[in-house]
Amino acid sequence: MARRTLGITTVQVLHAVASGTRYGFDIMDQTGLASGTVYPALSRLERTGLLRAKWEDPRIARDEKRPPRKYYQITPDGKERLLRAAERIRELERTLPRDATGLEASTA
Amino acid sequence: MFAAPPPRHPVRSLCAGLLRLATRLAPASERRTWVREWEAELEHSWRRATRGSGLRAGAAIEMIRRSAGAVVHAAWLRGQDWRPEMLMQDLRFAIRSLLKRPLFTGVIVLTIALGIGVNAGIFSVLYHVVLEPLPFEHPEDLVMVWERNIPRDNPTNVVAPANFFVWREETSSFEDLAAVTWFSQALSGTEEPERVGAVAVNASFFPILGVRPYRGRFFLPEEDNAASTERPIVLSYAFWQRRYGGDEDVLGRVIQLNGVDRTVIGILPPQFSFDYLPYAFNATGTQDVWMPQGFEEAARTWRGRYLQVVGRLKDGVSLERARTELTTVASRLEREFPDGQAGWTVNIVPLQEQVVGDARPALLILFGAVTLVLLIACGNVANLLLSRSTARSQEVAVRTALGASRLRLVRQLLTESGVLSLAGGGLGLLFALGLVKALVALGPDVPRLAEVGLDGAVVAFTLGVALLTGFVFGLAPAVRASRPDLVDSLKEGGARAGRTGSVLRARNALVVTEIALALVLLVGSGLLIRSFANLMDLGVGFDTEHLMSAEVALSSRAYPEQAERLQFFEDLVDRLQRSPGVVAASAITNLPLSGSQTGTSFWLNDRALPAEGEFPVADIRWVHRDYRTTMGIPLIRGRFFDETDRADAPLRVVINETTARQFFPNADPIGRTISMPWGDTLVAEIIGVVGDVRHNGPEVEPRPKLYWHHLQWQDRANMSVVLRTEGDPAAAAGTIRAAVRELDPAVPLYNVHPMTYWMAEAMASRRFTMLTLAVFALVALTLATIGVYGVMSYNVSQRTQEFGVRLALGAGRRDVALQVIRSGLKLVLVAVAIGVAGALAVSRLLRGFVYGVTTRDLTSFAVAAGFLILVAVLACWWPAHRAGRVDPIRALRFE
Repeated sequence: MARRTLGITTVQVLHAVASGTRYGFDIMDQTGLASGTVYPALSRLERTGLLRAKWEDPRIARDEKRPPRKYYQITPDGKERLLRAAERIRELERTLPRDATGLEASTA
Repeated sequence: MFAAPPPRHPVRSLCAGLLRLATRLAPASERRTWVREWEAELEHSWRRATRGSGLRAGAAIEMIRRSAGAVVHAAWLRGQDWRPEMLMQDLRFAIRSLLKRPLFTGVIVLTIALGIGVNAGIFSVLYHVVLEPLPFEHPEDLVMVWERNIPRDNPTNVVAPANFFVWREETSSFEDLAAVTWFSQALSGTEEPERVGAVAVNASFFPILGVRPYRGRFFLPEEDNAASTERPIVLSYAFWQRRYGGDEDVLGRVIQLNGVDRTVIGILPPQFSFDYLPYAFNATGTQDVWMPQGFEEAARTWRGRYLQVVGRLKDGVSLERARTELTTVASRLEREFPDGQAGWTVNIVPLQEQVVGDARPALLILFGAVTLVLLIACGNVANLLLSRSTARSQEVAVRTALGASRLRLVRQLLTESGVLSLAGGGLGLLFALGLVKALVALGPDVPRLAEVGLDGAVVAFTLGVALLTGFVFGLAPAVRASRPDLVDSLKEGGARAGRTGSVLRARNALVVTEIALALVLLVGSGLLIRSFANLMDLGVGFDTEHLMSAEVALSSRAYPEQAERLQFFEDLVDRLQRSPGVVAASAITNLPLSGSQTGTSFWLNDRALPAEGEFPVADIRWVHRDYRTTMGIPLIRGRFFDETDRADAPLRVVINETTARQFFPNADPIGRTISMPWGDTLVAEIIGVVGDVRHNGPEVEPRPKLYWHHLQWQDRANMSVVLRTEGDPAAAAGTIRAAVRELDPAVPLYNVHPMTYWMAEAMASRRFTMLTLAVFALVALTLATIGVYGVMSYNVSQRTQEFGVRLALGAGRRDVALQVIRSGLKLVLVAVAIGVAGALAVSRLLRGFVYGVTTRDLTSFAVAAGFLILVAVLACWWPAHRAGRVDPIRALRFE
């Protein structure tokens, strides 16, 4: 599991957390992904040790009269995997076509 | 909390509903934190969305969408339980926990293996022998056609050639018919003379079966004709390999059989065999060379029946129609030729039925027995798993308290029983393989046995049974164990959970059933063992010990004159009688127990001549004058042959007791004369009565038999010599060989066996059934004993405190031990009562197999029940001993 390359949506979620978006619903807002996609991804990342979850300080929640929220942080492992995934995606981007030239044969 | 009632808003209610649904779906182990996270997020979202000017439509839809995501998330988490690596984890855990209890695991795997092993083994045999179609084209259309003799009540009599011709020419039900005769011939003209098994068939034979040649070709219709100058033969694959090393050049080669040059034209395929015929006796027991019948016109006779006829029904013609047509022909023939046909009609038997018919009842009984063994094994497995589940209820309670879901627990327990079943099933397959090999080695008389092996169907059957057993019996304890009374189990340490009510009752019922089933098998094998002993006691009418035999065949080319042949046997016996270590020696034409047979019709001269078709029938033997004394057959009246019975003396005959009893019930047969219609009518005076010899084994009632002195009338070229020896009869084989070689080195010897060998052959199929059933009974007994032991020792461990209290209150150790044995005995006695009733019901199935005992034989029942009770009490002994040695202080502290 740990050695499997990360999918694009997982990378998006991991990146969102790495760039400081900590709560599940905020990640949805930032990535535009559905909750049914984001949450399994979060759970998987947490289980494989790329993310770490913590509970918000209860005092803040109490002040706002709501239950404390669970937030996610990236682990060193997660950072490393994210960098590697980014490399892979850039490599992929270089090789992907920028327009329809050369695709005629396969679409014809 | 988000799901809390006020303030009520329809969107909020909908979202809360979705969350509740998702909560139920989420795995129990993570449910708490999962709900907290989702509630917090939804609450936070809700507040943000309703801040200011209330809930806008877009925000409401987004809220609902996100709540629906909770369901997806929960389902995803649940799915994680079923990932392969989770299942692998279950598997590893199961194996670890099973290895932690090696005794439990070993006993249960062995139990399953025994049950499955014997089941798969017998299933293989049954499938191949009874169920699997014969290896021919459309085997369902193949039939054997017999003559049925009405007065003698013989439904499958060999066929007169004239009948065969008429059937072939005048009926329309068959695609074709072919006559088969089986004999032996001397292969000569090569460096090494040899006796080979020969089969003569019509050219239609191979096309009827749908067999294609492996090399070369089969016979043409024009070659199947006495006028044909061609003498083609076809070799069996085995003979081709053995004699010619599989040399392709043998095709077209000329070989000499009984002095006739014959050309090899074809080789049969390796798997071909047609040794299914009921009257399939020749000297070698093999089918080495095949030749065309080539009937001459003179062979078309009503007298002398010797053909076995195989046929193929036309497409769409039923057995009934063919039967009707042939019966009509037969009654016409009976009217037209009362001389040969009176009292005869026709019988058609499907080939498959013919081949396996006799073996079917024995195999079905064995299959029934083996099913009982499997049931007992399943009972034991269930019992062991039940006791295990009770013992584990504490572990299960702890895991449930820690949040393990019921499904997970059931899955874990089922994985364990699945592992047990598969291990047992795998080991069982090995057992089955061994059993099949043993059965093939033990049961030479069962048709088609050589074809038996383990195959895919059997493997599938075995694995299926193994898995089903594991799941059925894994499931009940698993479900039970997964919903224990949590608090009780934690509090009591689980010690008492198993004693309560239903489980104990279930386990007792299982053990009672096991013992009862084992008793049925013990009684059954007891009946067969007694029958076997009765038959061995009964014997065959002479002493089979220290008796050697061998068949000697003279070729008609080397010994064309009858006088030469007779002189050869006179000289041979004379030489043998003078050999060292030989007590007596003699010769006979059809050796008892060897299966070879000659019969004749006859009549008594001082009675009225019987009507056509109602002549009495007797076996007929030509013997050397010292035959009776060599064999040790008692003389009842008169005398046996002696030196005065020379070739030119008046014809004389010795009869057996059965003849005397049937035809001279109140008279002295000595001095009477009988006649036989062999060519010219032979008239002979009865000079003596000797004891009956059971020619076909102890259980076949003797038939009337006439002994002739071989010098007075013997047209055979082969006889069996018999030798009474001082020591080991097998050692006399060399004596016989040397004597024959001295007289004529070219004369072949075959079937050189001690008489005990023939006796064993005659009893082989009975011994096979008896031994197999006995083995099953022992396996059943072993399993039931394990069951009793398991239940009793479990009960003792559950009642440790009770015994402690009793001992503390002054009960003796003996009393406590006896109490345990008593409670075990109570179970056993109930079981024996049920088992006896069951055995009474079932043993009737053995009616065809018992001899000299009834199927309600008191001794068999008593011995089986007594033995079972003894073994069961012994199985209780150790647990009882342990109960008596309970330390009261420790037992009470344990409480």
